[in-house]
Amino acid sequence: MKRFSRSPNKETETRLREHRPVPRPSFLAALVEEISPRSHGRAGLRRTALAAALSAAILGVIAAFGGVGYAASAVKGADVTAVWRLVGVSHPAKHHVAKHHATASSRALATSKDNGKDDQYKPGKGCGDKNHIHAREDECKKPPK
Amino acid sequence: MLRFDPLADSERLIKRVYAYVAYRIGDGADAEDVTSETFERAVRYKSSYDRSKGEPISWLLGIARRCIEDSWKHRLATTSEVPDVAAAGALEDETENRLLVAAALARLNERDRELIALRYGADLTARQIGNLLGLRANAVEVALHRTLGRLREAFEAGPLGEAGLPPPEARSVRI
Repeated sequence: MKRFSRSPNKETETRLREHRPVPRPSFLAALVEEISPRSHGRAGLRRTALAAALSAAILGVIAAFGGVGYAASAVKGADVTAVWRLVGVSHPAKHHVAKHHATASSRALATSKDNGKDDQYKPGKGCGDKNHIHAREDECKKPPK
Repeated sequence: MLRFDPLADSERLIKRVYAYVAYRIGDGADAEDVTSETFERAVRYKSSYDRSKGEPISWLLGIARRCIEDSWKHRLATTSEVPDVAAAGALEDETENRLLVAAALARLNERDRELIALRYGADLTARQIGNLLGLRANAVEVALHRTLGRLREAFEAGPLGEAGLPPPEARSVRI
């Protein structure tokens, strides 16, 4: 049986592969550490931690001087005022329902019926008003005739 | 979206690049310097790596080739370093064999050393070598076959050959 002759260069190839130069373990480890993404990631982690610490410190200082409560009440007030403006009412207590449950149509109705003019001007309300109607006899001090 | 990291398998890549560099310029401190420089540049220009143009090892070897050229510019002489084989008898077998391989490689010209380094140092295929050098895979295989023949002759001739020195063309011929 005919045998295939081995390539004359096979031995040389084997020799080159087996005795391939290898880096020193210490050099390899140092270079791996240097280019590892973890080493770059650590720097990023440090930056994030520093930013978080600074943010916490700033918040702490603001809270110590009551800034958080002041800011919260300001935001709350601004929110309510904005709603009043949107709804178009001048007195929130009277129009509580209208403020919270106003649809487009009911809001239009509320603004047409209830406005500041009605609250301020009520004919015949006071005793000095000429149109005042006395509900009781002794309600108003009558001027001596 | 996560970017592909060409240096993810760093240990394996370092070994391949180091073997390539050591086959080109000789094992030791110079090879370590060039390998370090190669990876330093790779980290610096990592964002420029284009996966569609080739594998990370091909990209790294392109950088390594430029680093080798730069290191040659800084050298006063371009002579190939022939190891001190007189002391080889006292060394371990593995080290002795490596020295013999290095001595045989030192007898080759730069083009042959480049081919050997890419094929047996960096472990590239003929196609990958062809892409890197701008040759066809078939041409690379033929060139490698001839180079191995010359290397075999260098092994048979002994560490320093009959004249005791590498051939003159091995000292200064560049690709």
